[in-house]
Amino acid sequence: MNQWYLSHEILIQGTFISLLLALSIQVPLRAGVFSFAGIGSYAIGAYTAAILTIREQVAPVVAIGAGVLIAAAAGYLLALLVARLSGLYLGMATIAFSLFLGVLATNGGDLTGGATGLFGALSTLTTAHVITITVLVLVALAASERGSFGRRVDAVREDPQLAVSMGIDVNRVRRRVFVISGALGACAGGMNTLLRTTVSPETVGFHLVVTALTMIIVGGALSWAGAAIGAVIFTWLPSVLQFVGEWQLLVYGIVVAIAAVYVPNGLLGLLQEGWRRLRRRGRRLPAGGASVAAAPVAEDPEEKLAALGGPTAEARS
Amino acid sequence: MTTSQDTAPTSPATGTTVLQTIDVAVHYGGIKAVDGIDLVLESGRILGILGPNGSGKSTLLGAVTRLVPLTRGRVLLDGEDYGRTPPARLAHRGIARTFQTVRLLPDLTVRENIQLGSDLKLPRAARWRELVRRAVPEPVTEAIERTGVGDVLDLFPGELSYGTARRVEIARALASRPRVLMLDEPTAGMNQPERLEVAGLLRRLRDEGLTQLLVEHDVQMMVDTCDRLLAMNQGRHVAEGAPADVVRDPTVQEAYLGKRWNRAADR
Amino acid sequence: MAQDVLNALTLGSLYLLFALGMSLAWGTIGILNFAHGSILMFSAFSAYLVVREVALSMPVLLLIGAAVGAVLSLLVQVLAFEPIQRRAKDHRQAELQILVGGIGIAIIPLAIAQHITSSVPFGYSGGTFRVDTYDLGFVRISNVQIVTLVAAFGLAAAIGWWLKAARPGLALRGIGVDPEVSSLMGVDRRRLALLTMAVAGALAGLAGVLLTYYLGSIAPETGDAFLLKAFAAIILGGVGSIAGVVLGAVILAGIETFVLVTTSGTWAPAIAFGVIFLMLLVRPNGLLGRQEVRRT
Repeated sequence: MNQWYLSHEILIQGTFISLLLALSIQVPLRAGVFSFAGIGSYAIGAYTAAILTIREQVAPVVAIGAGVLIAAAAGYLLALLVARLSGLYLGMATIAFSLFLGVLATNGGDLTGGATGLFGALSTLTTAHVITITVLVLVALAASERGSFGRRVDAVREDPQLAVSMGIDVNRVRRRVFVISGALGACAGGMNTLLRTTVSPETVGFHLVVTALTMIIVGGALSWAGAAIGAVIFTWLPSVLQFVGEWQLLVYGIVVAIAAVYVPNGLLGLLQEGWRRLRRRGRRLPAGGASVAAAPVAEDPEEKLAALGGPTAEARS
Repeated sequence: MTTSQDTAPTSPATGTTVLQTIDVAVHYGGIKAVDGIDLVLESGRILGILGPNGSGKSTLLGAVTRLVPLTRGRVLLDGEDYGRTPPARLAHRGIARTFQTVRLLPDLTVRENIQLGSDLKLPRAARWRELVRRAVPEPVTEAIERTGVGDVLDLFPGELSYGTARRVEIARALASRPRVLMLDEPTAGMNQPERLEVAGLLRRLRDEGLTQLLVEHDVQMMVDTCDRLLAMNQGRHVAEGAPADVVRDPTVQEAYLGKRWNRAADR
Repeated sequence: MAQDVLNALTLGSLYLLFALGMSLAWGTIGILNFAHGSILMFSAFSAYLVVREVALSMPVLLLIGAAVGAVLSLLVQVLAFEPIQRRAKDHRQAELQILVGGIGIAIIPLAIAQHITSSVPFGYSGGTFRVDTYDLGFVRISNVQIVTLVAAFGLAAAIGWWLKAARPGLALRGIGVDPEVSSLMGVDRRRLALLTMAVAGALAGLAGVLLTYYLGSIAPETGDAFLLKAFAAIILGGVGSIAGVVLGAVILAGIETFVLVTTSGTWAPAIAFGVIFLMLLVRPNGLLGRQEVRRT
């Protein structure tokens, strides 16, 4: 166990960090906001943490926290700026914003280390810290998917006009979502920088958009659990797929394409769909003898979903 | 957020003006969907809006609920202009509505869809409690009972018949315990017994003091249910008054009704 | 100065060739193809694979590039975008799936090309075509530049005319404005969509081969950079407007060339991002965009 842990520590760290990054896109998506600003926030967090750690030797919590605050504020301002955009236009505007930050980093001179980036951001951040922070974030997000919080976000995504008529301030929800997305992205970026002790413009490019999006799409966009499934798959896939060798990228592309076309709600969506079907079948059985046979079948997926904390977990009485 | 705890129907003096529009108009480019409508909604009464398809009834409802921007005119709630109030605030001030089409959230169960209606009145503490233990607040239970959707609570909207889905929508609107309920063709797609049931429900709610604005195609139901009717055609006001008089008005008959409604009103 | 203008125009025409089809597909059948950059690269790459074996002339390579581009684009449409549009429950869902699907598909040709070339840039030195440069006194122009300029502006004019005058073109514009009414009027949406995607792919293929000739060689990753630039050009001019793409491509190339000439060049990639962001904030319809195709 210990041996295994040590030899896979980088992958374990990577799983949690890319999960946070994926969540910075998934949280807006759940509210129907197609924003990639989380990628830009990742860059903000990564560079803020590196600069503060190298120049001021601050504690990791300060270095990461500062990036989170800056990115959250930037997210709020961005939300005000792009308030009138939606759909693809919003997506492209936020991609442009994020990639612009990468160019900014290249041209930041001594502050950002130009094209070579910054080195030597040594800190006391450990894998345990990363896991703790991620778990706290997951608990908060899982709560936001339940009860009235979850219902209201669902309404904003599925039918903004209906949400308004239900007394939900849709614009405020959208602004909040930008702030949360900024904080999550910056947290991921800051932690990654401090663990790797280095950051450069290449590490904050377009490939992060691809990575985050594919994790969400393959895992399932409507819950944190989907992002978690995606993060695990795509962080570990390369090491599992070593037998494919150089064709790893190809397999990756094919998986993403198939998921996007044929499994739009991701693996989590498949699980939920299966659960609903089982439940429906169980209900149609006449009361009495037959339902006894159906009961144990229905129990299993219920527990499975409850463990994942998917949105249907609360749908039962 | 939860300032309007006290808007459960408290039956103020029936007949006082709750909601009023003055010269309300909604134009889309050259199209005058609504053009200069004055209406008065009195507390504890049902005002029906009658008119052929495309006469601007639903747009008027949109304008009154601020989901459609006004081109001209004023909208007053308790005598106070709310033309600049953010539309989401209106729900907090006790206005609830349904839509012309079924608009239930597909990934929530019927129960959760109805709960969505009561969420705006949910105290902060109850929201947090709900994360741990699922609770169905009383207004929701009451709305479920009144609309008779108790046996479909665990189904998803996609599994419901059209008529049932419409009743769930009414339940969702009622779950917010509104002061004013606006219904856009609530019985569309329902069979006759279901229609009578809904009409009876609306009348009972009225008798308990709930003010209603009703847009409906079923003229018989309008005559039976409403206290007053306002007839529209091509965005304009055509006739107004007691239901029996309005459906007999020659202009109204010409615009919309067949002769047979003469008999309906005489009955 | 004159040389800079000519270089900017050449760069602009490469952007134009590439962005033209993308804009056409987006403005009419509502598909923003994120695999378009990959198609450009793989068409050029296919031509390279052929010319490595057989010494061919430029027109043949252009033909190969256009054909490969058209076939790839059709494949993407039939295998991915059509099923998505058939199954998606609403427009927004389809948009997201098309975006992600495009990103995923784009990886496939990239992976293949990277594997075969080991990520080393490739060129057409095996072909019969040789770059010649003519000195006109105030400016030097190469035969590749002439072909590129003529092809880009000529094809843009031809497509612009086709949309305005030819029956299928009119039908296609009708789909862009109101798909439901168009299908009621008997427009075969599927066939027109396939035609659009084939044309878009062929244009990307042409752009890919010409770009390889112009630069001498390109790397498998070149397609991705082109994608965002094309997007900037389209947003700048206005989605669905042919004149808009021409204007957008030329302006973008002009600004980029100006920045390259006057600064150290590291800011050049920011131009496209800045243009996208500012245009979307200030004027999402673009300089010449039609009101009715706005999908915000």
